[in-house]
Parts: sequence; C-alpha cells; structure tokens
Amino acid sequence: MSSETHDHDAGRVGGPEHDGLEHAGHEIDNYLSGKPFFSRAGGKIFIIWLPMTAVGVLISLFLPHHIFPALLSNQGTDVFETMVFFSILAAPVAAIVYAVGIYSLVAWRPKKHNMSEPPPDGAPQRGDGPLTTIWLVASTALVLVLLVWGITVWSAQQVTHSNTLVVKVIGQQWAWDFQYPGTSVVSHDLMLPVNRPVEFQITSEDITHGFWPVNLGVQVDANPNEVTIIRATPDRMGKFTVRCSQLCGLYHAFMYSPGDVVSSQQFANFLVAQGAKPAAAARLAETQPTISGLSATVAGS
Amino acid sequence: MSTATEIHYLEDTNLGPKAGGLYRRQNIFTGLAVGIISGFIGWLVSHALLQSSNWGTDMVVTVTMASWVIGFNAGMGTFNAPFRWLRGKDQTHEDELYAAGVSQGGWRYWKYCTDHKVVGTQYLVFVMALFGVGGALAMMIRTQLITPHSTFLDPETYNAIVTIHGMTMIIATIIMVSGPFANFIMPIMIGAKDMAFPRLNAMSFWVIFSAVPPLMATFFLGGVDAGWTTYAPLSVQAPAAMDAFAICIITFVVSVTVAGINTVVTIMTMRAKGMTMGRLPIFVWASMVGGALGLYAMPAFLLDMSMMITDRATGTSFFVNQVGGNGWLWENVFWIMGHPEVYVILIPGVGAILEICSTFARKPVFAYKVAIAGFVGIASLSIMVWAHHMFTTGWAPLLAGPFMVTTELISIPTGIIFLVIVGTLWKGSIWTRLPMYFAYLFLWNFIIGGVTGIYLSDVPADQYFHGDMFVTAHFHYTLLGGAMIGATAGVCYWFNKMTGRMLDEKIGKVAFWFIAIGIQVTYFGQFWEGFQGMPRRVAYYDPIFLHANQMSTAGAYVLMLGWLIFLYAMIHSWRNGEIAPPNPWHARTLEWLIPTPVPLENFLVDPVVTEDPYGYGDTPPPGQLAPFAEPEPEREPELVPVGADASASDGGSH
Amino acid sequence: MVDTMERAPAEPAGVEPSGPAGSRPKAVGLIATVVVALLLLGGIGTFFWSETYKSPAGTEVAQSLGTITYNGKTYQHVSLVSTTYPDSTGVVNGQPIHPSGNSGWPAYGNTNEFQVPANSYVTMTITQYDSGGALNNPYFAQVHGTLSEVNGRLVPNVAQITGPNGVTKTVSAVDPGSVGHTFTLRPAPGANDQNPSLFVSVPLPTDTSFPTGTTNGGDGPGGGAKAYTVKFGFFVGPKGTYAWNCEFPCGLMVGNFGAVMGAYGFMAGFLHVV
Repeated sequence: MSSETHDHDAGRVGGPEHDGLEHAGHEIDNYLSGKPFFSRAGGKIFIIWLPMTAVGVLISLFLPHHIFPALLSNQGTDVFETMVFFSILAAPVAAIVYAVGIYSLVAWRPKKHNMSEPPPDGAPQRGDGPLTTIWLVASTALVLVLLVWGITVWSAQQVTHSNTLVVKVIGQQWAWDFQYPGTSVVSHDLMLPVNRPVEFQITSEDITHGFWPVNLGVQVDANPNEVTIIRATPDRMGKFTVRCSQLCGLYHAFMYSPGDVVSSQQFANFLVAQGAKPAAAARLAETQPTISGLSATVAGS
Repeated sequence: MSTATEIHYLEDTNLGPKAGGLYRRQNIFTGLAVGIISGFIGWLVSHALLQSSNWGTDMVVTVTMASWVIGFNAGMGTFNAPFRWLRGKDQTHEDELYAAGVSQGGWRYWKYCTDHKVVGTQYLVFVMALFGVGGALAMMIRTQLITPHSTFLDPETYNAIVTIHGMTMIIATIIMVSGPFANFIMPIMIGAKDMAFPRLNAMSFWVIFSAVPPLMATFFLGGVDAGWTTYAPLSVQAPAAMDAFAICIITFVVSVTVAGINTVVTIMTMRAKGMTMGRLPIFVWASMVGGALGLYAMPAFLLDMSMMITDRATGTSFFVNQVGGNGWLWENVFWIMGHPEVYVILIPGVGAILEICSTFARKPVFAYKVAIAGFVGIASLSIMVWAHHMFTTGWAPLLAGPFMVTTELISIPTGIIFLVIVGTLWKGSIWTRLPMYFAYLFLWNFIIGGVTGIYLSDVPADQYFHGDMFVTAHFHYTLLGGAMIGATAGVCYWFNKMTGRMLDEKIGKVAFWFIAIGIQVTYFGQFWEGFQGMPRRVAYYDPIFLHANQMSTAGAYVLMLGWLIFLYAMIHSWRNGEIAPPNPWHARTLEWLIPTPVPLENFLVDPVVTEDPYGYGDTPPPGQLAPFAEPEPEREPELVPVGADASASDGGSH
Repeated sequence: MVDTMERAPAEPAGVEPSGPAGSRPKAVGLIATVVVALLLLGGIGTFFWSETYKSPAGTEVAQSLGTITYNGKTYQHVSLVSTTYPDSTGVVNGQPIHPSGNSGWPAYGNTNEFQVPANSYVTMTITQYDSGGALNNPYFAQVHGTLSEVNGRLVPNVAQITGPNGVTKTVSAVDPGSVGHTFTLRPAPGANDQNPSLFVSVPLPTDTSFPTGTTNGGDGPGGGAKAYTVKFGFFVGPKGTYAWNCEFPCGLMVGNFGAVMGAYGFMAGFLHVV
C-alpha cells in the first residue's frame, strides 16, 4: 500500500494541488513521510483479528452440535458438515472486516475533538494499489472452494442406489400421507428402515406444498400434477418430523407428520400392522449388508 | 460577495391568477374524492355486468381497484398535461411554475408537485408511514408467536398479516432510498435543476400512493393467505383479496418503472458541466445501477400479476397445474423479478453508506472505480441467479449446479463492497456523528447477512434451510440490517438538507442502540429457530421452538421501541431542531455547496465541476455555490419549461 | 458564510418553527410518541383480534359420560356433538350458524370450537346434512385414528354410521366418491408426541355411499341431503390446541379448496384440550 504515496492522484481530474493540509494523527504523518503504511495498524489489527477468528472457528465447530436437531441421514450429515466448513471459512473474512471496524473506532478516531466540527482530513488514499487485486483474488479463491465443496457434495447426493425403498408422498391441504408401493399401506406417519436408501416420489393433490422431513436434511416441493423426487439414506434411528415448508393456506402450521427411522424388523412390523401382507412387508424392509456406513452399491443404470 | 437581495428566487415569482390551470383545483382531497367515486362507479358497473359470471367477485374487485387507481391519479392531475397535448395545447411557463409548487407554501406537499425536492420529501414521509404499517403488522406476527399455540389471531388472519407485512415492507424498502434520496439529493449531486421528467416524477409518487389502499383493502376482502411471494396455485385459490393485491403490484410496478427511467435518464443527461461519469458521487452511481436493475426486474412482476389476474378472473390457466398451467412458471417469473429486486433495494442503500463513510472518515471513497464495478457486477450477476430460490421446488434439478455457481459468484462483487467500506475507513479520521453509527451498524449486520447467504446458496445446505426461519432471519439481516440501516444512515445524513434542521443526535443515538441491539436479538432468535427446523409463516409451532421465538419477540419489541425513538427524533427535529447550516458535515458533494433550504431549481448559477467530490486530504474544501458566489450575468437563473420547446424559455426576462 | 443567508429556513411541510431546540422537554415528547404508537399498535391488534373468527355459539364444552376403562387405566369419558350444514347462512336454535356466512358455503355448526379435558376419551357424534361428491384423495374415505365403542368394546379405525333409513353400520371406510365432509383432527405441532401420533380422520358420507332409497329430500336445515349420523371415539392426549378441518373439497377454485375451505370457522376449527 505504500505504493500509493505517489500515485494517489491518479484518476483525478482538475483540482489545485494543495499542500500543508492538516491530517489526522501521527500515523498519517508516517504516511506522509513515506514510512511503511502497514506497520503499526496492520499489526494491531492482526492482534484483534486473531482471537476473533479463533472464537469464530470455535463457534463454528461446537455450536452446530447444540442447535441442530438430531440429523438422521447422510444428507443431514452433509448439511451439518457444510455448516461447519463454511462457517470456518467465513470466520476469518468476517473477522478482518470487524477487526478493521473496531480498530478504526479505537485508533483512528481523533481524541479530544470538538464533535461539531469535522476532524482533520484522513489520508487521501484512492485505493489504486494492489490491495484490490489481492482482495479479488482471495475472494474468488474462497468462492471456488465453496463451489467445489458444494458441487462435490451435491453430485454425491445424486448417486442412485439399487435396493432403494420407494415411498410415495402425497401432500394436500393440510395433511401428508405416505404410500409404500408393493403394499396397500397408506399412512399418516412416515416410517423408514435404517440404512436403507429411500427415494421419495412426491406429488400434491391441490396446490404446492413443501415436503421437508426435517432431520433427514432434504426437502422438495410437492407440486400438483408433477412428481418430484428426492433421495436420502437414513443412517441413524430416531424420531423426526415431516413439516410443510411452503405456505399452503389456512392450516399450513398444522401440516406435519411424525416420522420415525426404525430397524428393518420394526419397519416390517409396522407395515403388517397397517395391513400389508407379511411377505410384502418383509421384502420392503430388507436391507443389504452395510459396509462402513455405505448401505448400497451404486446403481449401474 | 453579493447580498441575497440581488438574487431572484423562482419560488418568489408572482404567478397570474390562472397559472396552473386545472392544477390549481387539484390536491390530495380531489384525488381521494375522484378516486373513491371512480372506484364506486367501477364497482357499480362491474357488479351489474359481471357479478353473475363465473368469476364475478374477482372481476368486480379487479375493476373496482383499477378504477380507484385511475380515478385517484386523474383527480391528482397526473393526466392533465397529456390531455392538454391531446387538445393541441401545451403547458405554459406559468403553469409549469405553478406545478413546481411556486406560491403554494406547505400546501404543495399535498399536490401533484413536480419539484423533485417536494417529491423526495413526500416519499420520505410516505415511506415512514409504510414502515409504520409494516412494522405494526410485524408486531402482530411476533405477538402471535410469543406462545406456541396462541389464540390471539386465527390462522386465516395470521396468514393475511404475514402477506401484507411482507409486501408492505418490500414496497417500502424498494422506494426507501430511491424515493427520498434519489429524488431529493441525487439531482443536486449531479448539478441538475430537477429530474429529467419532473411530471413523471410527481406521477411516480402519486401512483405508488394509490397502490397502497388496494393492499390494505385485502384485509377486508378475505385476506391474501399466500405470503408476499403469492406462489401459484395457492394464490389462484386465494380469496378475492388477491385481485386487489395484484392491482396494487401492477400499480406499484408502474411507479417504480417510471421512477427508474427518470433516475437513469436524469443521470445520463442532466449532469452539470464537468460532471463526468468518473466524477459522479458514488451514491449517484448506486442510484443509477439500482434504477436500471429495477427497469429490468420489475416488469416481470407486472407480467406475473397480470397473468394472475386473468387466471383468477377470466379462467386462463397459466399457473394452475390441474388445467394445463404450471406453478413453476409463476415461481420463475416471480424470482426473475424477485432476486434482482433485493439488489434494487440494497445497492442505493450501499451507495448512501459509501457516501457517509467517505464524509465521516474524511477520506475519498476507496477504490471508487472498483466500487462501481462491484455495483455493476452485482447487478449483472443478480439477473442470473433467480433459480436459487427454486433449488427445492423440484424444477429442473440439473440447473441446481449452474445456479449455485452464479449465486456464489455474486459474493465476489459483494465482497468488493466490504473492501470499499473497510478501505475507506482505513487510516481515516473517524468522525463519529450519528450517520456513522449507522454505517458501522450496516457493516456489522451486512457481514452476518452475507455469510448466512452462502449457506443458502449451497444446494445441500439449502435443502435443510429452505423455507425455514433461517431464510427469514437471513433476508431480514440483509434488507433490514443492511439496506434499511443504510437508508436510516441516509436519513441521518441528509435530514438537515431536506428539512432545514439538524437531526437531534442525542435522541438519535438512544434510538440507535435500541435498533442495533433489537436487530441482533430478533434475528439471532430467528436463526436459532431456523437451525432447529421451524418452518416460515406458521401461526402455531412446536414448543421446542419456544425459547427461540420468545427471544425473537423480545428483540422485536426492543427494535420497535428503537424505531419509535428514531421517529420521535425526526418529528422533534423537524419541528424544533437546530437550524441547519448549508454544509454541517463539511462534505464536498454538490448538495452541500448550495444553501439550505434548497431553492427551487437548486442552482442559481450553473455549477461547473472540476474534480470529483472526494478530495479529502489533498485539495482544499470547495466554497459555497450560489447565492454566495458571484452570479455571472449571462447565467441568470432561468426556468426551462419541461416539454416546451427550448426557444420558449429564451431569456430569463421574468 | 452562513450568516449571509437571509431567507427563512423553516420551509418544509408548512411546519412553523416553534422556537429553539429544547424549548420543550424532549422526554415528554418522546414518551408521548411511544405511548401514541403503542396505543395505535393496541388498536391495530384489537382490530385483528376482533377480525379473528369467534363462533357466536361459543365453545362447546364436552358433556361428561362418566369414565371408561381401557388397558387397565381409567379415563374420563366425554361426548361432543356437531352438525354439518349445507349453508352457513342458516339459523339454528336461534343462533346464526355463521355470522358472516356466505350463501352456498357449508359449515359445521353450531360452533367450530370444542373443549375437552386432557387425557380423556371422547365420543363424537356428527350429524351430516350436506350433499357431497368425490374426495381429492381417497385416503380420507377411510377411518383413521379412532377407537370407537362398538358393542362395549373399543375397536380401532372404525366409525358407526347411521343412514337416513335408520340402519347403523360399523365401517372402516366409505365410498370415496360420495363423501359429504370429513372430520380430520390433529394436534398442533408438538402438542402430542405419543406414538403413533394422534391423527383422527372420519368421513361423513352422503347419499350414494349408503344405498338407502332416499334422495336429497331435505330433512335437514337448508334443504340438504338426508341426514347421516356418524359416531366415533378417540383418546386425546395432553393439553394443547388441536386443529380439525374438513378434507372434502367443498370450496371453490384450485382443488376446490378455496373460498370456504380457506376461511377459518366454517370447515375448520379447534379442539381445545384443557
């Protein structure tokens, strides 16, 4: 930034050159006398920035554990990891802005100055130095990291598995019901076997709803006359709630269904209790052996 | 120095008894009267002819509301001049002076006044009233949500309130900077005597004024239960209030489009001698980019709402899946408007913040050209990101990737804004007056709004957060914490120029702390709700969200108190404030170099600009312009009647 | 420079300058502003609160029928009675069914608000006078979530339907093509976390589903269909607001869920569990 000492007038047209203007603070004097511009402020800002970044990273690492509900699927884990990763990336960027802001209030605010009159002018920096380029390159690099992360995770989620359990989801004002093809079961509650990839085929009877099995970390709208599809693999047992995420009129708030990720045996029992034939229920409930969390092979088709 | 007695002020012109023609008899009361009568006639006719048809109620509401809008504007005088042209006549010079408010005193604020300063002031008061209404509705929402199963409102009323809160705030935020400041301040900043199209300017205000009664009428027509996004087909199913809502939006779009054209043309053509594009104050650039972006975005809204009306009132089926339409069409066209629109709101506010940072850090705007590139970059990218609102609609899943790319790319030009603010503060000489308080608050909030935006731009994470309170908190941080705080900083900064009195900073600072803390508590509460998985727009919620909601509601009341204190600061200062000097901030943009209150046509002597307004630290501050400068004889103040041929204004003989 | 300015500065909006700053204590004005604003807010709140629908018949409090023993536990046994009318503009027992009823909008009457004690067993009887048609989703032609008392036993997922001919049948589903309304009840989110959750849905059939030989003769108020009486029971859980509505598309517009279906108080209401 010291390069700006000589070219700060670039880009300006007209205006008489005027010397001897009063400038604020001794740091400006350093600037005018050609001393390195960064030295004092930069170091102090770094001292403010470092703990702020550290706090930001710590919050990013630990807070999500406490505020997310239990996430029961691999997609839920993706959401969680994305939150943590993006927060860690954002912490130093936010901290640098905040650090400069705080430092400017502490160090660059003239003391004992009559507030009704402006303080002496600051340094006439026009920002023609390399800082802009550095900033642009850094922010582009950060964005590329975000993009690579996002697209990698997203495409991994698009992989289809064999042995996928299909659940048809029907939304209407103001209830969900779930059909399990292969059986006659239609249920108000969403039961899913653990470690079995599931494909939701979602449609609506009337208007647009938002199918959001919260703890599975996926959602897609239910549109009339359209079938939308999302996939998830529940990998932990536990209760969750299917909510409607798209305002759907009068009882939008009441449009929810309880959900439960259960063992395949419990799932088969549930289907039988709902009227499915035991053989069909067993077929729907069977899972492939799981290997280190991967519950299925990649479908060739 | 010359004395004031030598200067002829246009507003002191003695007008003949017939100057203004029909304008003399028109004011807000004739507008209301003609509007109500016209609306009633529209109701009578449509009720008689159309009520029995299949979509009778919808047709009647549409016709009635449209009749009100047209009638109100006829009563205000919007159509006076065009009708004169149709009759082969023209406005005389005196008519134009009358229309600009000469000889009407305070009454001109209630009339169809072409003076850009009057329009700006009208906008300021109107925007505040809209914020009052929208804020009151927000308090209804937050009050309902104090307990999980509150019986304060029934779900139907709640949904109607949610919708109108959203739309009122969208209308208010779109015009909160481009209304008061782009009208009052921007022309002075570029050295112009008025906007390029003063009558269109007055029209833009009174048209948007007439758009609001239909919006409020929705409460009496069954309520719009579809949210401000009014997603079809739910909005096609909604009560007849939706027709009034659509008329409101169409009217509103007409106003914003007219205002956008006016802003862009004014900046393109009305700059003073020497005011090159490279010397424009950054706020002017922001206004121009915002205005141009609005011209791209808003017509899509008009299109969407027109199709909505025909779907509802005549049985077309653009948006109804069951009969051949598709709700995704609505969502696409809506967000083609909707995403650029948030930058229409934001960019002028950022421009005001940059102007303030420069003045109160006593430094040039850092990286001026890069900042402009940032605005243009945001505007260009923003027209290519709309489908990130549709990641979870199921529409075109293959496009999730490309839209994730464009959406995340927009954080590069947005990052430039932070660079420019931080760079402007860097080694500045910070003068912590009230506008600067709000500039710092903007910086704080907008970082939070921006960072939470990147989670939502990521498709896998958006699949969790979409449609939940996290989104609500995010866009309130950007639009309220960012843009609206930018506008508030603008009020603190330009209040003295607009009203002639200094804003009381003691009360203002009390308000500031309430507002600053209120925002954090309210919207961190909503982030918390969002993490836990609470959907948006619900009147009843799972008790697991109780504490987060109570935190948010408590914050909302603090925030409300803050705005009320700020309102009092404005009212008090407007009435009893210290008389403002012309340049209390010792700033260098042109509006500070002319007297306060600003005379009609602003500049008694045409200014000649020789440098950009950011010469802090290396050029002496410029002196005051007319009337303090010696007027050159050949530059006598003169009025060029707009729409008249140039020879008619020859001379300055008056 | 400033003092050469000779023009009166107080120009805006016709406000006369009323003396130098601080001529009036700021605190007074500040408090006045806040108080006026709070009053306005209170007014707006009162307006919306009064806009919310309140049935003229008030809340129907369940009648006690003693106790019932189920799975070794004793529960309070209460009963609720309701009626569906084809037209909300009618008057029943001297009360309008709905004070702002539109012609042609059906409604539950006399009230849409019910109150029952927590953790009790509710026997509900609904008399159905309205005509009907086909459901959007046949799921709602089935009986869900009930535990109805049939011959002294509690049988899950059935309801007892008495047709216009006086014959009572115990059914678990009716013809989805001829349903008048449904009574579909669920707790507010989180109000009832028992497993499986409370979700009661009972179809209220109309003429063709019960071949009775009668037609729309109009023994009901408003000249609707012959009455069907539907009786069912269910257990409610802990305190909270439970919402019920009709899932038969008896409104207008898309999915026939507009108009009356989107208006609170006609085909939607609350069951307050206290």
